Amino acid sequence: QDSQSRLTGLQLSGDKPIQIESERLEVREEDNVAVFSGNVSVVQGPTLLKAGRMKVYYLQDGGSAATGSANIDRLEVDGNVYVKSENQVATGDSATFDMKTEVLVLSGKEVVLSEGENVIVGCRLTVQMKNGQAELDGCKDTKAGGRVKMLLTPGSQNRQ
Amino acid sequence: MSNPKDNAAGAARRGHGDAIRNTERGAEDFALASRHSRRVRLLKRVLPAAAIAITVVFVGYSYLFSGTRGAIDLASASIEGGSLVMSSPELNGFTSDDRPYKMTAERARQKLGGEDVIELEGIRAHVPVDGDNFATIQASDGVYDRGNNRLDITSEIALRTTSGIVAKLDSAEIDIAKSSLSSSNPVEIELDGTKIAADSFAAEEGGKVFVFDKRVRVTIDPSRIRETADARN
Repeated sequence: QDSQSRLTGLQLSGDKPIQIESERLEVREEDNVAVFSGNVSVVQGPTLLKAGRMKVYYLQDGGSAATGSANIDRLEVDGNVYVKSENQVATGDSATFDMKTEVLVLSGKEVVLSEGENVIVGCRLTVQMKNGQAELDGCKDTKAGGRVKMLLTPGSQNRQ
Repeated sequence: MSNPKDNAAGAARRGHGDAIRNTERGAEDFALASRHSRRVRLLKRVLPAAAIAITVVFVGYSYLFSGTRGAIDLASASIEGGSLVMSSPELNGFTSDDRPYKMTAERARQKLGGEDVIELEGIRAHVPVDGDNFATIQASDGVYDRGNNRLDITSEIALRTTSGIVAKLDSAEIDIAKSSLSSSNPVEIELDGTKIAADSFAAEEGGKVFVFDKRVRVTIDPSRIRETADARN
């Protein structure tokens, strides 16, 4: 089964500037893709994403990737992904973010979602970035038998 | 070939000093003088012809050997300090995928007898980029290597493309035939709301592939992108 929790922090606020840094960026015009590689970090307001590589896929609608006039279709991130918002941190092996549906999916052998001392471990975290609604699915094929492991630290709610 | 002027002066001095003593030697001096004047008459025709020949050869050489690399036409050319100085030269040609490029400069300097290298001042280049876009490149000075059709620009460069890219580079090596550009110094590229900065940059395959390397920093301002996107459609 899976657990629902509100991940209010993990929201992409519409018009705050986004700052991306990496060691290298290759923009391939014909494949409509821009590849950031080498400790990539993406910051927008309080939300931070870190990863080894991030591919930005542009829509095929004619705008050019190099000139940035094309709008972004989706992001694919891999190389141990770390996502942090005001009070939550999520880590996993890879992540995809679909710009239209604004859904972030973080997956991997062990996806860890923590808020303060509360830690939830599963294999697939799906976050609706529009409202921060997050859903963590267990790992089907591990000995945990597909169950989500949740560690709740008593009294951590009021200490926040 | 001894300088004609000295011979004439020498003959005159000998003749002048001994005029009274050996008039019979007059015949010998006369022969010397007439031989000299014949030589002068000859040189009077040969020297200008040689000058014209050299100029024709040079202009012809630069025109003929430009081949697909583009023909040089000059407003005027003068020779200063051992190098040919051309004012407002214009170079037109075609890239490997057959698209026209043009390069003009306020002044170009080529060492006479030097290899195929021309120093340029006040450069403006109009080079095809991706799709059917063009880039205009402006820089204060650089060196054009005609041999392998490369332009190395050592001063700050302003680049603008018809697709709206604005770029500032500190230096650039441009391979005109392959229409590729690379710079090992900091670069800043901006379009509509996206700014990319990095410590080195290369545009290959005519701008189809951009590679930014070392300390890449990208700033995207979604509101400005939306503004320009709305403005555009």
